[in-house]
Amino acid sequence: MAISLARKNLFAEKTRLLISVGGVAFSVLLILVLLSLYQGWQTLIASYVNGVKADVWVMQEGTVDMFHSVTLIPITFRENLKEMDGVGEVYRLLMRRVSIELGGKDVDLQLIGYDTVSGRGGPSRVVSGSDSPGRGEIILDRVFTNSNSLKLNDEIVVSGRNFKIVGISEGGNFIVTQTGFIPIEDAEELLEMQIFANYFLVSVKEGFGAEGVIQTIEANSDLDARGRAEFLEDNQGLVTETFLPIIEVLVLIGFAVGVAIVGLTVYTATIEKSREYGILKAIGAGNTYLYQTIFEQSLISSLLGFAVGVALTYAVDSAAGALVPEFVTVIRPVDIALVLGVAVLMSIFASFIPIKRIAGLDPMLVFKS
Amino acid sequence: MTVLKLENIAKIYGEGHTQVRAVGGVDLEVQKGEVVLIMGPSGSGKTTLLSIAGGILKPTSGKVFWDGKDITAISEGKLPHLRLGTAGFIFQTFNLLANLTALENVSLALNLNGVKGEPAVSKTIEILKYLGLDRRLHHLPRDLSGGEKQRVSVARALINDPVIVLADEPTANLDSKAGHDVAELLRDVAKKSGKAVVVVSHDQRIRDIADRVLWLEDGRFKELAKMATDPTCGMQVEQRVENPHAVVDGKTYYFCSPGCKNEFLQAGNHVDKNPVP
Repeated sequence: MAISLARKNLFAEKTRLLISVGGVAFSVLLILVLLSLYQGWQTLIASYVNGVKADVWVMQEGTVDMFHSVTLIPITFRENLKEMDGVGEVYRLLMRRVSIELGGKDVDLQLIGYDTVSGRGGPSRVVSGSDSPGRGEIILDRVFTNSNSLKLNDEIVVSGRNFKIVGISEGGNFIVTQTGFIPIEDAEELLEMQIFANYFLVSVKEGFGAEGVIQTIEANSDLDARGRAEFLEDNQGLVTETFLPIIEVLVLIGFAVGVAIVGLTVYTATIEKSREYGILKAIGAGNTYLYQTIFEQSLISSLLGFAVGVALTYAVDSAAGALVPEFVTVIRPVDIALVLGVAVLMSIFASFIPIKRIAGLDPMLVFKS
Repeated sequence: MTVLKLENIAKIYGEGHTQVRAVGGVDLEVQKGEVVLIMGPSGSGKTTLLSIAGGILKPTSGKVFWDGKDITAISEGKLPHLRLGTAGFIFQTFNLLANLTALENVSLALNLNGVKGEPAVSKTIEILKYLGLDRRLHHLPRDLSGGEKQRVSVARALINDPVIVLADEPTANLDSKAGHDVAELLRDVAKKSGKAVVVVSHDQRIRDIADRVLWLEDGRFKELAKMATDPTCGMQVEQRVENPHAVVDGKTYYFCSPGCKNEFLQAGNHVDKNPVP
């Protein structure tokens, strides 16, 4: 094995190495936390739709998703749907974001009225209490109860009516609001929606495909119908459209910070070692060897920074998640691989100016005292 | 056998009225096993000539031959590798890499020439032992004395078995004993290993081991027979009537400056002080 001048120089200057590694680690932390938050929110948004047992979601024509559009469908459409080929069960779902007063402040709640007999449209996972609310009862998402210091058997007032908390669920956190599940009969009265549905949840009969049923529904009504995966994607669009541009900018800033710090430390190290690079040139080292040495220094700094950054991300995600319930993160292996690529890219960018400097170095400087 | 040949070498820096001729029309042939010492005043072009001879600097005109091969015709990209195996350099300030041990400093030169791992380490240990550095293998340059550093530098210059060794003031930063040892070492390098050794130096000790001494001034070689040693400072000066000189007891002395002349005359003791016969 050949002697690695890059490693020797890098580890001989521990303070500089620490600054360099710290810079990349901070940059990796910033990028990875943002990506994990983005993925976490995507998962959150998708969690409810994912948990609902419905092959097809039916909604008013032109509805974009659960958050940007109000969908109102006359209840009479339920019978029409049932008569269509391939349509099995049809369940009505009522959904509205309401504001309630808790502890002197207004908080938003995504109120969902569902058929408690079949359970369709109800909570994905109940972690404590009952999984089926009776009249005047509500199941609240855990993030909502934690944020507002509520517990089982407490009562809350929704649109002037008292509801007793009988269950606490998970998977209903939409970041800015959380779910509250009540029987559809209570929702009808509370929201004055006796003759309307917001969505119909349709199951497909055996022998039929969801795609065919969607075409049938859309061909025979003025309604929109979407398969679960498509509706899931539409809802995740909320996160994509709202947060992705911000995340992209912040990721770029993180990348620039990493490049700047590694670049500066490698550049100053190169300037300090100019004479030594001149010596190497004089005794017969080719430019390729010198470029490799600089790049290796930059790469080692970036990879060490990457490793520290990934470890820090897990620590920060875990600590922040425990302190702030909305701070939900998912670290995917593909994102770690992506950030590894970013770290390598950082080292390439960071090496550019030092390499240019070395390329023009005059080996004659070795003769100067 | 000629291993280094300089043919009508000229080096001009700058252009127009800022133009400086550092070396002008120099010819030189160095044989295998020969030690050539180049002396001359500061700014005479010694280092420039050494750099051209070592393929570090391209001459403005003229040709450099290593073992019969014209290196001025070789592209900049290929020259470093050729230099690695043909010419070894020894510098005044040792120029060792600060974060590498003695062993690593020498091994690195081998690595650059494609020899890696155990073969590189064994060969390096062998040469460092030969140079009396077997107890200093794992010491960083900052933990070595001047003489030891220069021996490491010599080892690095020789490790790739070059045919030419070029040394720039190799004894200037060394004490008397270390300087003497390095001078002897350079002689051994030429006589025992058959290398052509070219040394740029002001050191009398090198003069003692040189087969040939050349005087470079204003970028040209001048005949050393017409040179004299300033009895005050020991510098080589031309025997020209325009230069400061003094005749004492029928003997003529030449000086580099009126200051040296005055000092000499005030001292009074002129016996055996390098008079010109």
